[in-house]
Amino acid sequence: MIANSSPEYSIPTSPIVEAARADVDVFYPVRPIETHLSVQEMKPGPYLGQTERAAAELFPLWENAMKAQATIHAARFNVSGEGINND
Amino acid sequence: MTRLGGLFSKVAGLASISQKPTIPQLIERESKIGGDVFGKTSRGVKRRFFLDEQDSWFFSESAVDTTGQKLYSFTIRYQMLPQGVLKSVDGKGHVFIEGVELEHLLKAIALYEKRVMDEVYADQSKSQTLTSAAA
Repeated sequence: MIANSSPEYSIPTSPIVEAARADVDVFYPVRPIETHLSVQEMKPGPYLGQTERAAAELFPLWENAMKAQATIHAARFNVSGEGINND
Repeated sequence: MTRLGGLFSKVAGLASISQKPTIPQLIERESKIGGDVFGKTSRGVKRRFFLDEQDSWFFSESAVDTTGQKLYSFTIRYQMLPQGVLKSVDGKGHVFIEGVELEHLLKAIALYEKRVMDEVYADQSKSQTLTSAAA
């Protein structure tokens, strides 16, 4: 059941198999997280890939994700009672 | 007096039904739908995926065996920052993701948006019954 028995990162194999049958492949750890990236190492601008080409390919998805978040936040606000002034 | 008490109960019940869901209640419902984005889980596996009230996405999964013994659990946080997506697992190992993992996350977010907008927010009345259903 447990593919990676590292005490810190115990990643099950079953969801990976299941995800292969789903619309989206599994995206969570495909490799161990070995490094801690310091603030100094952060790159300016959207850090979407090691190469400009990779970044360009993912940028539309990135933009869509940003819009999706805004849409979801707005929907929650509108549907919940928190968008109403109770005074 | 009894009839009056019954009337109060009915009024209180109607107030409860018409009460709008809170954002945490909406997120709770979203998280179940989000877990389905990654396919059906095995027996004993619980999976959630959701956007919090800021701009972080959480993927959590836990599993128990047939006797109820805990097998594993972990939570991954994907923090959407101007620089990119910063990932941590159970609060450790912060790293910016890229490549296939990032692509899959962004696609999962797109699917999540579509499903929650259709299943939670398309019909506002559905969401408004959450409070009474949860009670």
